[in-house]
Amino acid sequence: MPGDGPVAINADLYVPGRSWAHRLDPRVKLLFVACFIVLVLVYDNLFFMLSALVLVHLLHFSARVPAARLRFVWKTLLPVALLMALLWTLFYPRGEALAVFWIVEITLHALAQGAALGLRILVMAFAVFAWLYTTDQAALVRSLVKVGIPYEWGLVLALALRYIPTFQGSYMLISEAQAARGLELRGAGFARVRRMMPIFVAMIVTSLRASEQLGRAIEARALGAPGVRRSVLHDIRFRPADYAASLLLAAGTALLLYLNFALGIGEHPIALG
Amino acid sequence: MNARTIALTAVSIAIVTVLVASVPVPIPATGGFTHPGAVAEIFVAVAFGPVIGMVAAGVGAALADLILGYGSWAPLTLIAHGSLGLLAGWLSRGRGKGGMFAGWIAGGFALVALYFIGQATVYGLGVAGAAAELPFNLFQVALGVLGLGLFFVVRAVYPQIEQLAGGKGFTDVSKS
Repeated sequence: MPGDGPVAINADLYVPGRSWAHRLDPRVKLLFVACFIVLVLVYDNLFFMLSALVLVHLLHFSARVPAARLRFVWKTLLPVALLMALLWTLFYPRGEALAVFWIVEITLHALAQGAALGLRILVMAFAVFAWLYTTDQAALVRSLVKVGIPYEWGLVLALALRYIPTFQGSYMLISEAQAARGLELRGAGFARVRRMMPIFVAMIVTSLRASEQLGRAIEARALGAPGVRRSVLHDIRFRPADYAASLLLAAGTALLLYLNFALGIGEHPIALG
Repeated sequence: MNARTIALTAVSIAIVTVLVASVPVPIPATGGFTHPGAVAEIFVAVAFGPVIGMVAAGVGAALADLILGYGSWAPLTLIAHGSLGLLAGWLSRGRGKGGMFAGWIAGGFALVALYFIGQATVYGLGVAGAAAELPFNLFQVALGVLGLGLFFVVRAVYPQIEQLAGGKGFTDVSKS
């Protein structure tokens, strides 16, 4: 994070498009994320992790996600992945040493383990973003309600997503207005946050006023009135392709889990089987 | 859940997300950056109680993780920050300043401990990797104590805040 002032963020991750991934039912994509995360947490193998990384990239490419969006994930998580690989190599040597520097033993096992764990962080993120980049916010919230989240909580999430850019804008506006009146944001840590307090107070009071109005607006639309059946403008529906994709996902996940639990494949960071 | 609670919860989530995702705070003597998210989380928990506190802190911080590209941490963030909001809101309910302080300590401890355990085990960072993250998380929740001060200032300039949580909607009135 550079600089001193507030950072402009893009809160909507959705990349508009008409690819197969965009047309897939959001519930199938949710299932994909769940299966993928379980599998990369179960498998410890470097080759498995590399194949998973290639697979998620192919998914993103076929969904026509711009390369800049993928670079953004690489840029934020590569340092974490490298740090993990380094820490494992240094602190958890196992087996025969490839090289010894003073008290540090470099082993093939630890190198592979570190690389696999570092890649896992990246693979998990790419799986989550494959879902979020190809699903617009309305469909996302609708799918969460359909898998069992109460309607009110779905509405809370939808409203929160809608207000993030608004409050970010008001935060920036307030900090610029305060800066124009001589508020200087210097120092670090506690000193800095204490100087930010006037901005926080103004921003929070503005937001709470918005919440009062929002509450009245929702009440005026009679949300929660008894005996009313809710309807939606754009509902989501499972098509044959969605059933096929879910079946394929479930079967693939079950097979890979069986291979791991019963036959021990993917338990070792570098050896296969 | 009535309309006002829906609005208040959504707005609280958005406040937390904005403070986590777009307000950098330099960490003294390192050149690194953290964020004042814990300030907002403690504020919301103390002002609106454990349920809104838990949801706003957990979901708000997890959304910020997703927006910033740290997608893999989002599930752990949801649980760790959610616990901070829950504990801070629960312990501060009707117990005055001492309760608020205890809520901040307990919630902060829960957040740091959950991140440590989660990163060391499920994420496979090992104890060494999780320990490397420890000082950053500790510093982050330490900043949260300023959220208590923020609450008193906001309450002084905006006394209606007391009526926002637990307010009655027309559906509650029509039922009774």
